[in-house]
Amino acid sequence: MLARAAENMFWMGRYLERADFAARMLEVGVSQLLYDADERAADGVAAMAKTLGLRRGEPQNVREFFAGAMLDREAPNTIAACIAQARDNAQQVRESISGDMWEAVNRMHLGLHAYAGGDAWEAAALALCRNVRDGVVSFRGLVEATFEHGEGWHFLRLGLFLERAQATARWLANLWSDEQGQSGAAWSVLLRARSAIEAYARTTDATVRPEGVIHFLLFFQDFPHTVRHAVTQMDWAVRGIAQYTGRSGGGRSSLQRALALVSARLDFAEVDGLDRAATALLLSDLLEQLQRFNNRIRSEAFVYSISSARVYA
Amino acid sequence: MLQTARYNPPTRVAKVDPLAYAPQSAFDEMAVLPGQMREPYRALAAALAEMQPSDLARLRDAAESAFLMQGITFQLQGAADDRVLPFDIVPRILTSAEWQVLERGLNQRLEALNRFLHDVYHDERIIKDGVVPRELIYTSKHYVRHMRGVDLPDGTYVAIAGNDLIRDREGRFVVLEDNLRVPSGVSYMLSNRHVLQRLLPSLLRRHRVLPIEHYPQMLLQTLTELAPAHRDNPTIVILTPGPYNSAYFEHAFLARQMGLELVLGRDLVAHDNLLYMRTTAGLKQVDVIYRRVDDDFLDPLAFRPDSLLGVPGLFNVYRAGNVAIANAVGTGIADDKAVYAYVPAMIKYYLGEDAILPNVETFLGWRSTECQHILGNLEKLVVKAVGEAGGYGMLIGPHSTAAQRENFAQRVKANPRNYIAQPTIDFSTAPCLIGDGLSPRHVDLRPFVLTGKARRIVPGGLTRVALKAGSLVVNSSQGGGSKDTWVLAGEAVD
Repeated sequence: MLARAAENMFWMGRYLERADFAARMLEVGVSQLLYDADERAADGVAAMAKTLGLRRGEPQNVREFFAGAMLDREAPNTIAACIAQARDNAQQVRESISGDMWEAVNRMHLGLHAYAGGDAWEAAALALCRNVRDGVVSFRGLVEATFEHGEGWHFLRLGLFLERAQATARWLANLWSDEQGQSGAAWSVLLRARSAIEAYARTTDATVRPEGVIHFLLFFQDFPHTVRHAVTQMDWAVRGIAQYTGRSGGGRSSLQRALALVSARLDFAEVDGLDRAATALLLSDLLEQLQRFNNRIRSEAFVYSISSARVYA
Repeated sequence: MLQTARYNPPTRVAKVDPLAYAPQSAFDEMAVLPGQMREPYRALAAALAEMQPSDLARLRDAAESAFLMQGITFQLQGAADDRVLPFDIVPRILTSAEWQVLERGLNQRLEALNRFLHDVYHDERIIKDGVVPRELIYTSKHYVRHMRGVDLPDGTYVAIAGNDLIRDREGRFVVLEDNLRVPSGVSYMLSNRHVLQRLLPSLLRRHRVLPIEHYPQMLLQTLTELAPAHRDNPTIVILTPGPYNSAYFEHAFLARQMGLELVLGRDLVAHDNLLYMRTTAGLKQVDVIYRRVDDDFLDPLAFRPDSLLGVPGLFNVYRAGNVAIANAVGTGIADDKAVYAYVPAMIKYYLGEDAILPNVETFLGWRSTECQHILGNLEKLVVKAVGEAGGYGMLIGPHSTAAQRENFAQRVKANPRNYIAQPTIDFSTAPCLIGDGLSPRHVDLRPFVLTGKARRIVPGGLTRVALKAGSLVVNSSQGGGSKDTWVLAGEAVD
């Protein structure tokens, strides 16, 4: 397929995942606030802004922060900006995605309105997050049901799961390096934002402990929001892509090799008795290798120089 | 001259009443006089008479939502949001006999135009024999010097034409202009039929309408035939200026229908005199480009250096015969509105035949006597800039203000070569659903003529409608709409 089309599919997957994660985070964040005193709320807001990569001047108050994080189309990584970007990507490949997919993205974009202010803003903000999550889920259902499971589909999923793996690893690394965060409720916020609180309780521990959360969100294979799960899905995607780009014949493709490094770091980590420094190292290694994998996708499939490119008739 | 609407449809009627339909001074496609239907429209009129206005309103809403949901939209220059091209559900009907004349006429015209283009970029026989004046060619902004002596792989210049036809007061089809560069609208032709097929299936079947849905396959076949001879299984792409182009929907639509890649200029690379597209697997050689980008923007090295839409080096690949471009570079010289006036002479010159489809009488600004005539009769004429399209750069005399006429007079005097004028033609009307009833609106017809190793025309074309009462402008950019066009197979069944 066209390199530009693949790049747009990849980023459509990435941006919608980013919007979804932001919506989940903000939804949990709003609920959390209901119990927090003002100054603790401000701390929570600052942590959230950092994790979501929101870069806009200090908001006046908590309410303004949430409105900006959801609806400010000009600032990077807000829900509105991510959905607008995804729509832009969809528009670039409109002829190759299904009509249903286009409509779903378009509807999400058009459906983001400023919500009513006043004292009762929390309910409106929660409803907005819920709508975005529902919109993304519905989009993914349509991707599975109305779109050919070909190369473009693999690129879309590659973007989705790479974004998920990076976002989770980044947040874990932030929390781990932050002394205060470790003791706080931040770990259960993360679990809840990943819809993982029940699964965690079932499989890992009844109480939320930092080590337990890291263990679960990194290594647990069968839950869709873990890094391990994301890596498995990416592996499937790069194999699928190799079938189309004809690079499966001569051993593993360059993308598969780059991903194998991420996978190996997870496979061969000393799971038990991870001390503080080893955990920090593991998280930073993972983040670095995920970033390298991202760069390899870019240089291999999206932007390559003419002199090094493979040529075929 | 044209009158404004005298007929106000009754506001409360139990049924749609085709008998109340009142044609005006122009030739009307359906009715000779109120209540007196032309033969091919009788079944349609009878069917409409059975419907309640609410039925029609429901059909109209269903059609509109079908277009919106499928994203069949266009963008106006400078407008932010997409719009649906207004669709009128009452079909326009042409008989088999009428269509046969059009088909022969278009065939003849495209044959002559293609020969003219080859000639004008090679031996210039038609100029040397004094049929077309040399200055007219060399002063056209669409004459592309680089094309002199360039041999195209299969000699086809205009692979896709969209000639605009209108019917005069006698009901005769005449050619208003030839669109030989990047004509658009075919997606509306196909979508209109697709929607009407769902809304009025039995009516369609009873009329035995000729199908048009095979157009994408015909276009694909035509493009395949243009490929350089030695390339089996040629790779064909559609080159678009991008999502912000007003016709982007159509580019995407055709790419999907034909299973071709829709590319931007930056997806293509010219290297070692071959053309490639960037894929996820590396560079793949491209053999044919169906371009929806104007000549000027194709290659910044050969044409406009500031173009970001094109491919640096493309023209060299083209000149080397390693890629085919449809339509060829330089076809605009043949649809220059002043050169248009010479098409009947071209037909005579190359084919030894009289034009089957006549031209509209045209006055050329660059002939001084005709220029005087134009300036003296601005209020009666339609004045057009020779290189414009889409209804831009045009004065409709009878509907203009004194200030507009003065403005155009200045422009014509400043650059007479750039303007032509034609009498304001009271061209034909067809019934349209306006409010609760039928009202006559002016319509034109744009058939799409494909030329590869053979010539192919799907029956009918795009009927565009000037939806404003009395308006003579059918362009989508100027408030026009469209309707389905039915060419009947012959004698009706049932």
